[in-house]
Amino acid sequence: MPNIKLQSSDGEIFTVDFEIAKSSVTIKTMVEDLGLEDEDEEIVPLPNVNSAILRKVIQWATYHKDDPPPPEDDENKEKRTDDISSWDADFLKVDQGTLFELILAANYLDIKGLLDVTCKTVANMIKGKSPEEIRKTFNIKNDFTQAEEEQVRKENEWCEEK
Amino acid sequence: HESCYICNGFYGPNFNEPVCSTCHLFLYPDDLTQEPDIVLSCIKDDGNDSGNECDCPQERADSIKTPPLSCCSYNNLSAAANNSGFNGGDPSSHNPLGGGGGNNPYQGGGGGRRRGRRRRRQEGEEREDEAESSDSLTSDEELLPPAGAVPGGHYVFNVPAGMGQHPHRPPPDGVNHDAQWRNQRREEGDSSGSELDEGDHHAAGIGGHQQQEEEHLDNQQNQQHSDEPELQRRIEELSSYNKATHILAASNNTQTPSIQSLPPEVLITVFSYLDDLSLCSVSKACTRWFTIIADLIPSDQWRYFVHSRFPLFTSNVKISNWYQVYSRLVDNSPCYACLQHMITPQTSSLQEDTAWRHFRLHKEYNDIKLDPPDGIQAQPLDTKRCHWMATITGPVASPYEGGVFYLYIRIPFSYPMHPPKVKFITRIFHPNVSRHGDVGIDCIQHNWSLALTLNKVLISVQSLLTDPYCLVCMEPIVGELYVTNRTRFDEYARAWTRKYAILDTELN
Repeated sequence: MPNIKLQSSDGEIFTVDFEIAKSSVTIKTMVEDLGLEDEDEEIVPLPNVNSAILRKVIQWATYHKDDPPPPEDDENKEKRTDDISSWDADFLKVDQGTLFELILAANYLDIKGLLDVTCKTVANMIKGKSPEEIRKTFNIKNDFTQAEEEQVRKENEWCEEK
Repeated sequence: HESCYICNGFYGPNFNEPVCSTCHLFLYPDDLTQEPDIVLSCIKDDGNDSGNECDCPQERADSIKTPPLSCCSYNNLSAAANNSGFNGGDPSSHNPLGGGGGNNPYQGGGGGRRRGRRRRRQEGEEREDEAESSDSLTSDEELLPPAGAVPGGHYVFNVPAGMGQHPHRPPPDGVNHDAQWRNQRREEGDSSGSELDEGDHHAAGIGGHQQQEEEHLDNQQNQQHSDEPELQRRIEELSSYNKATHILAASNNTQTPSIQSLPPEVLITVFSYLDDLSLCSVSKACTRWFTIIADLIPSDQWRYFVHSRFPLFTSNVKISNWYQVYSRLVDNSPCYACLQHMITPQTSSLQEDTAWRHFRLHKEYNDIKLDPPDGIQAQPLDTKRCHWMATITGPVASPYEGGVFYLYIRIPFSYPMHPPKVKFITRIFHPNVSRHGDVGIDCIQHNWSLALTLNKVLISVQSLLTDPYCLVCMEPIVGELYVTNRTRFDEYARAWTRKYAILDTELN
């Protein structure tokens, strides 16, 4: 089986089985469009993915290489977030920065399975949280206007007056 | 809500909710099979009660004997608070079960806030001092902008710098404030030396600091002031340190990606996995997300959410923005976690409905539907009738007049042997309703009787709105206000009703 060489943004080169690399639609089209299939020496540059993240992506793709293709999105079906496999859950036990980098990489490389599972993980981090808790979780700045903030403060006024 | 009013922040942050998640888990488990300890023969069985709720049998006995409308929640919360709370909480006894500890969070919280205000006022004076003395500043002080130019600058001086934590207000947004922020840090960095030496948190501002400096300068300080580059370097260090920890979101953009670096289409994928309540939270997190949600979920969808989650919602005005309705209903609720419970009913499939429960609830529902008491509505939310929603219209001539108060009722599988749980999910200013929405009424606690029905319980709650019972209160301060200053109380209650229980005026 032919291999393909992927180059990360920091210059590291990964040799990957083409069947595995094909889970990325981006790489698949790139290879097909450029007709690289027969040439072993060609290197596919991936300027948006650094080596640490690319390594993880390849690890994920290798584990999932025999998965059936993900089903098409069904708008009517309720989307579940509790169906993350235990391997994926372990795989995604990373810090937020890495998780978001993985999402960005999955988005850029167009790997639907990885994008779905990472997005589910983030959705699980959001679920059941109040706005303030979400902000704290993701370090989001509250950029609503002062007037709204004022309103929140007013709610507790009566206990301060006492 | 500065900290959880049950544990006073002991178990972690509460994110503006009245009860932190840990305490919530203890006090209001989302499990219908888990029954409360309250049994019909509560008073007789008192001695056999599990001891972990209350260490002091006397206190326990007191709370049981408390006459009608005992405020005690599931675990004698306020009764205990009444016994010991007014003396101020005992900080060593943070018990999530709220029993013997008797840590009256209300008093504690209020005290803290008052102290805070006093301190701020003090600082205000210090700032004036400082402004006066700023004319006579030494040369390196002139490098710094006058303290008066820094908004909220007075927050700076009551904490030794370099403590790692930065309790100040977060810097106002925008890059131009960055400079001001840095300036604040500079001042702090400058005054930190002497403050740390004195070990006094309340060390004076720059004004006082200047004088102290002249009187007892130590060598280190001397050196710092003569060695300007050194000082500058330290200031830089300090400011960069604090920037690193407190403006993390900003630095994340360049270093590791934050959630805000995800493109909108990815965020939409993430949001597509969320339930309606989480979507509502997400829309309130920041303006960017608000815009994304506004584009993603049309008003009609929100309309559907409102009708499925708040089936009793009605309005006399024509509604154009259903998001607003949903958002208001969520905002008006005192506890987000309780809404979550209500909105994702965890109907246990293992548990079987007993025939007794089934027929009784069937009949009760029919009664309420066919002949609802004045100003009361109720409707089950699931097939096993474990979760109900009810509304009570504010009684005429009470300060709650005109408001529609939503209630969430949970019926255990052991009903009617065990009482239902009734909770306000609309904020209400009332002595017998806790800030978490729990109703302090004896008939759904130790005085539960088989003769009572949902109908009667709701009528009791309604009558409680007209006549609060102030001898024992869920919110002692509100009760005190009711007794001592009815006019003020009515004003507040009316304002709360307008704000939280009357949606029509705002939607119009």
